[in-house]
Amino acid sequence: MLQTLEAKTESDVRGLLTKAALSLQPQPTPIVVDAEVAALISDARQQLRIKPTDQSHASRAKVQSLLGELLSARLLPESERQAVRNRMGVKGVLPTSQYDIMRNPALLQRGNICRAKWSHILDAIQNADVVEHFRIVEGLGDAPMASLFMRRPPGHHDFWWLIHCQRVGAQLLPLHAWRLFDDTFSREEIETPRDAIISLANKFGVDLSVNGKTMKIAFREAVPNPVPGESVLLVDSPALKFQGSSTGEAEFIVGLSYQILDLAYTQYLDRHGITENW
Amino acid sequence: MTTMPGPFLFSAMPYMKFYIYRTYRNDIHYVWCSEVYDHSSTLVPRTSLPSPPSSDPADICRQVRHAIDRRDRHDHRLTGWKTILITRVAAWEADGSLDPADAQELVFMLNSDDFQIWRPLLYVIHRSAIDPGRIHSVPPAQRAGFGREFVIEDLAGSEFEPLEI
Repeated sequence: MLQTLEAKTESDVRGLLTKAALSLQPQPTPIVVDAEVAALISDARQQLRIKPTDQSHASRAKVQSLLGELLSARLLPESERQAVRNRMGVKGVLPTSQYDIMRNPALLQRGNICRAKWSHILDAIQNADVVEHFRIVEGLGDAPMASLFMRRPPGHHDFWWLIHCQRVGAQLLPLHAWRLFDDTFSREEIETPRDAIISLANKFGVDLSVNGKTMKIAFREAVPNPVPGESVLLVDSPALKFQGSSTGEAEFIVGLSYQILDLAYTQYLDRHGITENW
Repeated sequence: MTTMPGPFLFSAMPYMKFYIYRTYRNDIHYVWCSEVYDHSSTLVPRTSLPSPPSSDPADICRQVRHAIDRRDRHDHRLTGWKTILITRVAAWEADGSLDPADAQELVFMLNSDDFQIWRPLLYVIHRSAIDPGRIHSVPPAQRAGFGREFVIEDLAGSEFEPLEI
């Protein structure tokens, strides 16, 4: 703690740190620094062992940096970091590097279908070219949400990885890894991962019946919930479970749902030379 | 000597700053800009005066790209941008114009090890579309060099093109 900040209220400390840091930033017009701010800057310089004669850019940057760190610690104490991280994960605004990527044995067991190594999946998520996090509705707490990642693998490849993850707080659980070859999926029709998953489902997906409508893929479908608070069967496709959450008495919101026909997809991989022993 | 103003203004900014102003400041941006994109190229207005690398948009973009590629946490430009944005967040939170929860999330992002949030964007501003009264000339004493510099405090998102370079 800098001496100048001792015995001050939290709001005074923040105010003083903010004023001092602002005073060191480039300004289009000169600003007047009051005595308290000058004392704080002098205090910071002493702590950093900067000589009084040193007025260089580098020394100014060091002071600025220290003030920024002190402000950060006030705005986001260490004890609150994890909760904030989770909250950002739920919202889908967390930088990708900040998620925990969970190994999914179920996905790896389907190796003969998806034909993706764990390292491919990790690379596609961590170095994705395009990312799309779905937020179903506000107020769902930690309900699972969907996140999609698209990655053009380095080298002379003619496909994109499309990774579909389940997102819970700050955790990502990869559910599917798809290869979208250029000769089958036109880049003109695909601008976002959402377009990519729609194209994939249209090509290889089974028909879903949702709310009396037939579709290949369901996004943010709000359907009447006949029994408030209870799950309802929305889909009559076998072996398909919807991610869904009750949002009150009136409706049931489903997340991203689709089902790809294994046979059609693996035949397509075979045609592109990605055989079972790839 | 009277000089004709250049048709464009250029500003180099980190993506994170663009994101914050677009999302939390009603898409109204504060920019410090120059009439010349790259003082080291031959395509500069005849009347322009040289600027040092610290205020040359092309140089800033090059330096920042280099720092990101090397994942240099101590790069002065990146640490400077980070501190400036943390300070702004603190000031907005204090004056009530930013929700405390949003402030915490921004501080988390600014302190994360994700270098991509610092990737440089080049703002290209069509000068003729901006009321000249909003373009404030920076006094010579406050500039980094001889070249003319300007500040626009209320640049709307629709008034410039943010280019990834």
